[in-house]
Amino acid sequence: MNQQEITLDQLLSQRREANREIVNVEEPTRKLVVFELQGDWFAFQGEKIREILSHVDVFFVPGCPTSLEGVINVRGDIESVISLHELLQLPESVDISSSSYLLGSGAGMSSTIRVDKVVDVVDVLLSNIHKPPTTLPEHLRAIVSGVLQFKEKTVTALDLDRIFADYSNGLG
Amino acid sequence: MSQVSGNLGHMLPSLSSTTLEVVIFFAGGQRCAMEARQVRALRPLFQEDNENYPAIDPLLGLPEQNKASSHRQILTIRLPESDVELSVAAPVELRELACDLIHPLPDLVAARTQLRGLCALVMETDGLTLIFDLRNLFTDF
Repeated sequence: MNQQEITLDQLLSQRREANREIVNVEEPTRKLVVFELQGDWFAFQGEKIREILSHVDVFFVPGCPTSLEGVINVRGDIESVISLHELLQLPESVDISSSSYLLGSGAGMSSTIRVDKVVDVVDVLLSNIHKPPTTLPEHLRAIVSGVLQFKEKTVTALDLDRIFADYSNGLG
Repeated sequence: MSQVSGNLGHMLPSLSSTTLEVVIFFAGGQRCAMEARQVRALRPLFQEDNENYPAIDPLLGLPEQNKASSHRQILTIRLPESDVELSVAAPVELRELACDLIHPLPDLVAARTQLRGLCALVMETDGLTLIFDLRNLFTDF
């Protein structure tokens, strides 16, 4: 193999040159927890999600809407578990054994939200999050805070404050 | 000048060392409880009295189960104005619950539950117990 020789001076010079080419752009970002429901991708603001849980035992509480699936024990505290399928007008998941649970806070309340799968937790440039399109279906308008492209898929960012507030008032 | 601390936590007993006496019963197939001090008495329900005492289940918003009188007992609920007698499915038991097992309702459960008087939950390894406060249920009774 023909290996090119390089001196230390050349190496350091190259490094300095390379470092000069890195321009630090301070563009604001937002952390998002991207998750999947029935093949569609959604996201919550990362600061609203305290924890991502899996393999939890959900205890059914009678007298609640079907979308309120029960309660779980999170290290000694009891949290509710809700499903967003009805709110988003998506068909209910058939197999929930591989679901993940996002423990979120919003509108002064906390609850876990069952999702089919957590896709990623990412920092996204704010400029890449766009306003919801005007063509958004009626049932989504109040709870969608933005849309973005991620891994060649459209991600709908949801407003957890609004979801919890609306849910506690009887929506979903 | 004496100072008053804003934190009263040190004046309250530790929850892990205290217990609450409750009456455990089953309604709608669900393990339920109420504070023992809200219960004045418990006695068997006889066949001839079966129709005379309303069941506790629908009052709480739960489906009524096990209507056979041989499997039911009469709970006398202590209320400020006058006592109320309700039938409950046996067995009924008195139990000391560790206070650190008793949790307030999660926000969304409190907002959306259709059960009347549900005020707390107890989560143990063998399942959930619903704790009811019956004091405000009898205004129209």
